[in-house]
Amino acid sequence: MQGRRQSILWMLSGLLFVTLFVAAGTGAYSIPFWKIPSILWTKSEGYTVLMYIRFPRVLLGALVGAVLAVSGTSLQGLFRNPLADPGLLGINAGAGMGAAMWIVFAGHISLFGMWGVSAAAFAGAWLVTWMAWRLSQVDGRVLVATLLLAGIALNSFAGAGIGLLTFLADDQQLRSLTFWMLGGLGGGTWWTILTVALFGGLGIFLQLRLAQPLNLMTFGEADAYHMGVNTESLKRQMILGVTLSVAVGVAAAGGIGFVGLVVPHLLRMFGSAEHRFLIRASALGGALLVVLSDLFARTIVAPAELPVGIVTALIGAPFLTWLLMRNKRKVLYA
Amino acid sequence: MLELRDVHFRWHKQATRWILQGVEQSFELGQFVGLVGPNGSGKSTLLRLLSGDLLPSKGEVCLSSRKLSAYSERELARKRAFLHQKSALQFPFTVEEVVQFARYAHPLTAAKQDTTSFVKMTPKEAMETTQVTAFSERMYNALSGGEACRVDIARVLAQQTPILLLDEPTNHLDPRHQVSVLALCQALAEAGALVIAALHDLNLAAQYCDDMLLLHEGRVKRRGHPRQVLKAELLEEIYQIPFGVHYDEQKRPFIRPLYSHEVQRVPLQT
Repeated sequence: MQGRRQSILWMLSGLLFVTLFVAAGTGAYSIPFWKIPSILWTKSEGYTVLMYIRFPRVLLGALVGAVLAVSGTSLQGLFRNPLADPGLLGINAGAGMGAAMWIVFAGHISLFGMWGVSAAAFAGAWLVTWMAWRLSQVDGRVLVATLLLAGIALNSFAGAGIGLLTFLADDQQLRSLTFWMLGGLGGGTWWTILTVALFGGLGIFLQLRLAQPLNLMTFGEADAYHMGVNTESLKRQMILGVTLSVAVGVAAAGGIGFVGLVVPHLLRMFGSAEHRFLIRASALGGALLVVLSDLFARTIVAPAELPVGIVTALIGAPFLTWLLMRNKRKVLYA
Repeated sequence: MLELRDVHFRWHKQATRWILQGVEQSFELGQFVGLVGPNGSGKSTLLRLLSGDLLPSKGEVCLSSRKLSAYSERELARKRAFLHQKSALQFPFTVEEVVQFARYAHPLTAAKQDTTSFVKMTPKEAMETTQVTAFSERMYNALSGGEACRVDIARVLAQQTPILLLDEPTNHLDPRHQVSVLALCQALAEAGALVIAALHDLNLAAQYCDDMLLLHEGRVKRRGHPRQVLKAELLEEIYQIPFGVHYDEQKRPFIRPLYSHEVQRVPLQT
């Protein structure tokens, strides 16, 4: 059991490493991936493409994927429900609304750069998570139906908020807003990567540190309490970790849905539900999924490109449907 | 050791129904107390108050003369373990993982045994004790009710606490495992632990506990040896049906409800 988890982690790491290079080499200007190290070393032809276009994009994809998948894992553990996902709960939309408010009311996207937008996105994400949490809890139990309905309500509220903000925005702001809302990984710079790595890393670190009590939390709050978990503090820290990572991910790349749902699910099926393993593996798996989806999105209709969120939704939506079908009875009687 | 001082409980301030009223009891190490009473008499609530999960609306619960709320979650988890009626686990954990999780409150002594406790079982030993080693690699959420219950008991044992609070530990179990669980509780108490178990089966309780606590409508109706608690007239008052009380060779009472056709002919035994 332990051995299999280790090998899954190693396999994912290896796969991610190779994929990063292959994805960095693929595009209109094609570079075979085995030549990449020498190009980087000698700064020969192709160096600029790699350093200023490809690697920022690929690395940003990996970071955003990791952050979203880990947040999905933690939310599912916290809500004791495998259907929780940042996108479904409206956290992505909440972060988007926060960011849009920043752009419209604080003037321009470049005020404090990425950081101002990220902070606003964080506030929006936190608000939505907190509300979803409060709305779906009754006597320490999570009501699945209420949770999903609350997600719909929060999603549409945040969506309406964003719509209202586009209405209020002037031309300049509207351009920033539209550009930002389209999302995607194309705008990745080393500065964005640094921000995401810093705050997303902090969020992942916070969640990984809580992996053990999160395991106990899946037995229900009372059981976790009896085994020595300070459940209130766990919930607060976990929501902080999740919103921190989701917010910075959304601020950098827009909403990329379903990553947080698909990745932990597959890993639970083939690996284990144990969160110290699951959080690490989700980080790697999420990174892998987003980098591959982005690779697909920018090559399939080249020279144009699809938004990466469409690709993840194309994979994720049927997956969610399958999951719901499979759990139909369980959900009914839960 | 563990004391209830004039404990009252209701779910919220406006509630007119008191779940528990004026419970004044103390429990010592080495006792195996059977908590009995009809459905809704407050057994589970009493256990949850003893564990610190619920706070009394009035009065206080003290462990070693210190209020429960003054302990941290981890400190308490090293003093007492709690068995729930059912665990609502949604995720696929293996049986072994579930039992290992009980070591959370003992981060530094994960490998060693805790010397301050009377229950000195490693997770492995706990699993052997409740006979779940055979399916240690299976998924907990795919087990039958009885199997899951034994895994939960192993988890509670692996927490290595001097106090064990068990909410219907024999629920879902077949007679063989019911007997072995209660014999285990008895052995733990003899080794110096305090075991308090809510039990529905009055006969099983009378066989294994020397100390029974009978609850009715949130009050303690009687506490003492099964011979003092299992009295026909008291049981009839509480359960609203007539009982026949018999005694075995060890002078332990065993009871059975009398059926309507018997009540006409047989006078109530005392």
